[in-house]
Amino acid sequence: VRAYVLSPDGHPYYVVPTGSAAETLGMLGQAVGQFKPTAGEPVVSPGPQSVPPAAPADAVTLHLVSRGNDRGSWGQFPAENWIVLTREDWSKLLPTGDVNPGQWWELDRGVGAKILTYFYPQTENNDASTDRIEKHLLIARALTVKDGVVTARIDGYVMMHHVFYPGRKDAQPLGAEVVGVMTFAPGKPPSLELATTKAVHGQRWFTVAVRTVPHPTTR
Amino acid sequence: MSGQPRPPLTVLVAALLLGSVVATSCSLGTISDARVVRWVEQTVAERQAPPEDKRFDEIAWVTDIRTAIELGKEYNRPIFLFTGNGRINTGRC
Repeated sequence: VRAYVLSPDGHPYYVVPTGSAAETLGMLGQAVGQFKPTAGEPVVSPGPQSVPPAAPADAVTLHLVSRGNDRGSWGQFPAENWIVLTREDWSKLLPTGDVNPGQWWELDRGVGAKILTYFYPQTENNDASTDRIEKHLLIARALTVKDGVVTARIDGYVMMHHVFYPGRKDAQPLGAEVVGVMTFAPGKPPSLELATTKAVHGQRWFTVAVRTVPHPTTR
Repeated sequence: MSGQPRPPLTVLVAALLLGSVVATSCSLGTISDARVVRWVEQTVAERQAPPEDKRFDEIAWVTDIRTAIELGKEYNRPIFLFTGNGRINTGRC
């Protein structure tokens, strides 16, 4: 990470220390003294910097939040991922034919891997390739069927090895147990929520939550 | 694979016990059917980033240097340039 102050016309003025908020603010104060900008509102509106990507209208977009139980350093801020399931993807999560309470089915492993591969805490390495996964399983069981809408519970787990720093060979084992709920009407995009009940990467415990969110559409 | 009425929870548990790194006990099946919907809703909500962890969003960022310089010139304001390898906005960095 490096931060800089540039002059209004884009020329480097100073490297901003980022070791602490006080150092950063001190340097920004110097920059104000140097350039004497006129006080006023931000010239663009602040807003969320992590937003769902545009996706087809019939896609399902999942927002994942993962966080180590530690705080400070890598544990200070949660990590997020946006996972887009195309119609082809989410169709594989649903059973075919009528569904009755008590009926169970296994969720497609390929689609499950697309979600579970992001079940790791904040690490410098963000290689989320699914070939890290050694074992995983998501099972759905219908709890209720009301007016054609199925509510199913999800139980499952993922096991893989994940490296903390990119390029290292010291991948640590990771295991997570998952519970969730999926609600759907036949042929319609499902709503999915998942939460870890227990998850650890090496000796570091962490939690994950996944939920379905609206997304801007590409067409 | 599908069937009814019994889910293959025993399969899940066996798989975990055979090679689990998730400590010594298994949490699968500990949340009853009666509680699961409420538990998941509540847990997912509780794990969303609180406002104090999203103060980054209170800064008026632009995401490219050309736009920043245009605005800097237009408003005669210095530019704070943040660079990093990764995605600082999602915490995956």
